[in-house]
Amino acid sequence: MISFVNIEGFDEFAKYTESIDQKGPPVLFYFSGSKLPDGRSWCPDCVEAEPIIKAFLDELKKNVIFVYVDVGDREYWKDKACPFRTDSRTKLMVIPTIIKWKGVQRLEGSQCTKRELLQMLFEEDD
Amino acid sequence: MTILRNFMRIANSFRPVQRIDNIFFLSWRTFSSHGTFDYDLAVIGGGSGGLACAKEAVNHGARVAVLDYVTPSPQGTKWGLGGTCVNVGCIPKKLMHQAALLGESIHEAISYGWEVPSPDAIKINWSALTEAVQNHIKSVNWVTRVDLRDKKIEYINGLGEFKDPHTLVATLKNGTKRELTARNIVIAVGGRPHYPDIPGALEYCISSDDIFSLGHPPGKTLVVGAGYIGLECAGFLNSLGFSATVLVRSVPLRGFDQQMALMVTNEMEERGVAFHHKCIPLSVEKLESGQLKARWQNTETGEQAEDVFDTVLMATGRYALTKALNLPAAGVTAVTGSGKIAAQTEQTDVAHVYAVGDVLEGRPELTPVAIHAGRLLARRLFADGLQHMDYENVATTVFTPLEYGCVGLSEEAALDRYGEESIEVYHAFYKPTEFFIPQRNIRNCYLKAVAERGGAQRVLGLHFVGPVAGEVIQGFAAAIKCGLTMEQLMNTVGIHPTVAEEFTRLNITKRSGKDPNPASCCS
Repeated sequence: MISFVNIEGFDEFAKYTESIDQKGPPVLFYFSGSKLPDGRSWCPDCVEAEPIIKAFLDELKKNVIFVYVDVGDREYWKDKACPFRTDSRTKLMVIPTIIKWKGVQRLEGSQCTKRELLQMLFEEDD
Repeated sequence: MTILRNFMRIANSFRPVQRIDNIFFLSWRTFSSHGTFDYDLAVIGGGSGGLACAKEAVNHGARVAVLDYVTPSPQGTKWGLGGTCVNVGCIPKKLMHQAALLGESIHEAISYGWEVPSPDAIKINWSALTEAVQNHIKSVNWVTRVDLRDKKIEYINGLGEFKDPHTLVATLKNGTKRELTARNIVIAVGGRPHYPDIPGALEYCISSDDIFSLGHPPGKTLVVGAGYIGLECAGFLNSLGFSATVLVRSVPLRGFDQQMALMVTNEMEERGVAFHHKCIPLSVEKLESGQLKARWQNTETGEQAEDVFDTVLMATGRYALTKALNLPAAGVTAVTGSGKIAAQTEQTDVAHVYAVGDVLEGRPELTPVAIHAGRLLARRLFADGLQHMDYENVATTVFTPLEYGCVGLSEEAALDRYGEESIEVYHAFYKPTEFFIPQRNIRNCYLKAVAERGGAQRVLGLHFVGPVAGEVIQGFAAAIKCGLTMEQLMNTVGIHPTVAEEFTRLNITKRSGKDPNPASCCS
C-alpha cells in the first residue's frame, strides 16, 4: 500500500520530517520542480522522470510513503543558497532526486528514469 | 532477455527441484548470444580489482557477472559491496587518520590565535566518528550497486567457488546455490586478516575488519603487528586519545626502507605510542572485568611480560582467500604456499582463468594496482588491448600520524641491486613552515633520494616522512616513470613554501658526510 503525500516548499518539508513515524513504513521523498500553468514542470528532467515513476509506483506492491516535494520555481532552485541545496537533511545537487529518508540511498537526475534503479531503491530493505 | 528468462523460469518450475541435504538446488540457465556460456566474464570478488575489471569489460560489450560475499569476521563484522578498500581498508582508515589530524589541528590552532574554549575538554566521541565513517561507507556501497545495475552488470551476493573450469557455484546467505558458466573468469577475492594461533586470539581479539565499526570506544589498545596496518591503527588510536602499545615481531614496516621506518616509529614513540620490539604474543585471556590480559615474549631475551588492555587488535598480516575457491576443480595449480596465485600477466595456468589484486603473488597489495591491472586485463580480453600492467615504481604512503610516502627502491634494495659504489643517496632534514608557530616536532621530518651514481644520476627511489606525504610523492611517481634524474630534479624550481619543494633542494649526499640539517629556510 503506497501512501501519497504532497508537499510544497522547504518549510512544509521540514515540518513533515518531524512528523515521520520512525517505526513506520519507509519514507521516500521525490524532489521535483514546481508545475507551470500547463501542468508540466519547468524542469525538463522532472518531466521525463514523472510518468516513469508513476508507472513504477502503480505496479509497486510495497508498504511505503511516497512524498512528492515541490521544490519551487527555477529561480528559487538555481540560487546557491536554496535551503534544499544547503540543508544537511537533503543536500540536493540536482532535481529530480529521490531520497530514502534516514538512509544513504538516493537516485539523482536521469537515474530516476531507470526502472532497475527505482526497483533497487524502493524494493530493497537495508 | 526478460521474456526468455521468464520462459525459462516457468520451464524450470516443471522440472523436479533437487534436494541436497536440505539445501534447495535451483539452476538457472540462460542463453547468451555469445555461445553456450551464461557470461563472457565472471568476476569473483567485488572489490577494487574485480569491479574495475567488470566495469571496463562491459564498456567493451562483454556480458558480466560479479560475485561478492563477505564472510563475517571472528567478531561477527560484515559489510557490503566494494571490497576491503571501501569497507575496512583505505577509506575508513584515511577518514580516521583525518579525524586524528583534525584533533591535533584544534590544539595547534590556539597557537595561531584561535580562541578555543576549554582545550582540555576536547575529546573524541567514538560513536559519532564511527557513525560518520560507516554512513559514508554505506553510501559508497549504494553508489557502487547503482553503478553495477546501471551498467547491467549482474551482482550476485554469494560466495563463489569453482565446479569445473567454466562453472562457478555461488552460495547465497540463505543457503541457496546459484550456478553460472562463463567464458572467462577473474579471481579477485583479495585477502583477510590473519590471526596468530594462540589462545584467545579468535575469541577475544579484533582486527582491521572490526575497528572501523567497533560498537564501543576501543580504550587502551594493544596492537599486535608493526606492518602498515598495525602502525596506522596504533597511530590514529593514540592521536584520538586511546593509549596504544605495539608488539613488533621483527622490524616495523618490513620490506620498506628501514631508515624511514625508524623515523615513523620514532615519531609515534615521541607521541606516546609504546613499542615492544622483538616480541610475539603468547595468549590473550578475558578477565572478570571484561578487560583482556595479554602475555607476550621477547624472542631475543626470552623474557615474558603481560599487561591489561581494553582491546587487542591483531594486525599480523593478511592471507589470500583462495582456499574456499576450490581451485582444483578449475584445474588451477599455480598457487603458492601462502595461498596466493602466481600469475605473471594475471593469467593462471588455466588459460581462461585470471587473477587480479591482493590475491596475486609478489605484487603490491594496493587498490590502484588492482584497479589498473583489472582494467588493462579487461581491455586485453575484450578490446584487443596489448598493454600489460607495470608493477614497478608504484608509489604508496603509510598514513601514520607523521606520514611516509615513497616510490621506487628502498636504499637497501638499491644497494643490493647495484652495489654501494654505484649508488648516490641525497638526503635532508627539513622544517615545515607551518610547524614553527605551534612548535611541532621536526626531528623526524626527513627525505631522501636514492639514485644511480654515474651520469645524470637516474633516480631509483624517493622517500619522504612528513605531513601530506601522499600528496607530495604522487607527482614524483610520474616523474620517475619518465626517467627522472637528479640533474633534472635539482634543476626543478620548487614551490615555496611547501614541504614538497624539499625534493628540489636536495644537494647533500650521505657519502659526503656533511650535515643534512637545514641551515635556514629560503636559502
